[in-house]
Amino acid sequence: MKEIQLTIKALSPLAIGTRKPGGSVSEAHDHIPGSVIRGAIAAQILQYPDVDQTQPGGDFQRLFLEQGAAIFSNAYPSARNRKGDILPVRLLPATAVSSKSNPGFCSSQSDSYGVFDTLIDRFCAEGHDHLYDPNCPRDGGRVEPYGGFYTVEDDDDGKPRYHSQKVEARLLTRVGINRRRATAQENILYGIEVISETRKKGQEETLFSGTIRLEDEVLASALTDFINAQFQNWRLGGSASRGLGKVEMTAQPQDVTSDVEDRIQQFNHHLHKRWKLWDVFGKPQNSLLDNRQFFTLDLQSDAILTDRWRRTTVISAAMLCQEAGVADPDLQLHATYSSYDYRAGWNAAWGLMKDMELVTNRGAVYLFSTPHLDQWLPALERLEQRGVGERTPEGFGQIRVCDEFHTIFREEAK
Amino acid sequence: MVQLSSLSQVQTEIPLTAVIDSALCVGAGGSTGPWADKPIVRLADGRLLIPGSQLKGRLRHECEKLARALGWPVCESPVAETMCPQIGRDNSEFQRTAGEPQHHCLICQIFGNPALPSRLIVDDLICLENSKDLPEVLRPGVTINRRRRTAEDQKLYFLETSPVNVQLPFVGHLYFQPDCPPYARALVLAALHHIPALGGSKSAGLGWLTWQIGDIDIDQSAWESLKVGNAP
Repeated sequence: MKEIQLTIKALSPLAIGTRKPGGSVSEAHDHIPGSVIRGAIAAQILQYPDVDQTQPGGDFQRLFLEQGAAIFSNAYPSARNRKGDILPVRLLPATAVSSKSNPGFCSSQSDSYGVFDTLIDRFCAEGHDHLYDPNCPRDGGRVEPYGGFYTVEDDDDGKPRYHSQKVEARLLTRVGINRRRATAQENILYGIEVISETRKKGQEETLFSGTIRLEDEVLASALTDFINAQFQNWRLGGSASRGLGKVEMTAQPQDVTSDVEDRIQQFNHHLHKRWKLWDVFGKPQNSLLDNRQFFTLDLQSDAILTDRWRRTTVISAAMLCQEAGVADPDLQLHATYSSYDYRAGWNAAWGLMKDMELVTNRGAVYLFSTPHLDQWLPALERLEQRGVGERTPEGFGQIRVCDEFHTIFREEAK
Repeated sequence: MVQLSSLSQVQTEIPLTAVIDSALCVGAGGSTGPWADKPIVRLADGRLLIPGSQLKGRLRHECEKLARALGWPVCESPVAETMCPQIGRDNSEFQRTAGEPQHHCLICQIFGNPALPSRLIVDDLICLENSKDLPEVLRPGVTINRRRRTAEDQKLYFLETSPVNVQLPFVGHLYFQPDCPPYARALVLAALHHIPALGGSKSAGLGWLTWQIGDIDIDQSAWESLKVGNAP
């Protein structure tokens, strides 16, 4: 499988709206959904006058319509390192917490008290029949869930520094003009919330990082050339014909390498170490760790999950077996941290709204265990590349197995 | 069948610069900034701009005037209920048969409507001068009571404008999509020459400008095609 690394730089405000049922205000997303990038590229291809849509086959069909269509992941806010390269952006899991009074990553510029993960400690505490109630490592105060995007960059001392990444938004007001009276038209005053084109009063550019994954190497090369040939002609989101949504999009092809096995080993190493630490409060009668290997699924984007035709926010063991094509009756789901929301959208090809979908929010965490990890490794690698649930080519259901942030414990809050 | 490698770049791009001869006053409700009653709109980094939505709206207005004068049927924007294709379906004058049959007027085919994407893309016109180098200009005004010929109560107001008489250039582009009809560039170019000012208080001397338009090669047949609108 080939992966195209997309770097998107906002040149004008981006109106990437999210309309929820019952609401009249369209809020701006804090990222660029994969469906928006997919739609923009498809629309750009179809605008060419020499395109013949009546003939089947071709690159368009392989990119967007076939069973193994390209997967457009969401583009999340990122930043450049000191060399000018874009940093890989990561998503905090739902189990991450930070101080209620001084939330955020520790840094020299702020007095934040740090962010840490609670998944392994909560699992160990409950396994030892104890209540788990984390508090802030700096002042012992209350902690709250802390979400969002972050990047990791080594500082001068070689220590990894964690930085929260977010976009800035503002509200634009527009009014329609009555052609006869040359004054404001009734009922055409509206506000658009937009992602600002710069951050921190123009000192930093607004950058997004995303990927396109596809099987065909030749097609990946052609798509990369197509994107780079018109890198400043891309428009994303709404009101694109009247000044908004102008971006600079560049593509860089790269091979997909998977380190799922290493991450699972690291996760289990820390889990066993932590379990022994909790043994000081008394060993449990039945150890949950006996002959079992653990792994997590961390949702990197919203997912549309269905269990027997009904929407759900839980990936059960049976669902995962079916999704991965693995027959494992011993697979067990130990913990679920998930919430839900609604998503709509616009399909330019239909000229109609997409159906309102109940989605499981990004950041959701599912903890599984199995005594047969070997047969799961290739399946988990495949799931990481293709995603879970429905509409995965639009960026829904992207997962990461055993996210590294689960091994950031309270005493080493970042 | 679509082959990515065979697609040729055919989008037309026209560089456009508006040189402000007086002072510009483009404000919007909800804008943040100084304590003026009508603050000027800015980018996130503080640079001044003329929003693309204003330029596109004004271009559409001028194009509608020209098209009507040439005898073309034109729908009534900006209300969706009185625009194509709602009003064009029962009116044979609105039907276009170039390529697929459509029911959109000449203007909607360029500027779009709620059912048809725009084939003209307008950039924000951005002032390249650093906002820190530009002084903040507040223009006071007061309404005069017509009967007493003295200041009206509660009618003192302040407008924020760009600096006066410094020939500030606002730079951007117009993009014509590959499927844009051939007469679009001719009509838009003619419309640009009918826009002597932008923004608020034009009748009070604000927003007057001079256009510097990049090279456009317009085929004579495009001009000819505009003439067949049954003008008397």
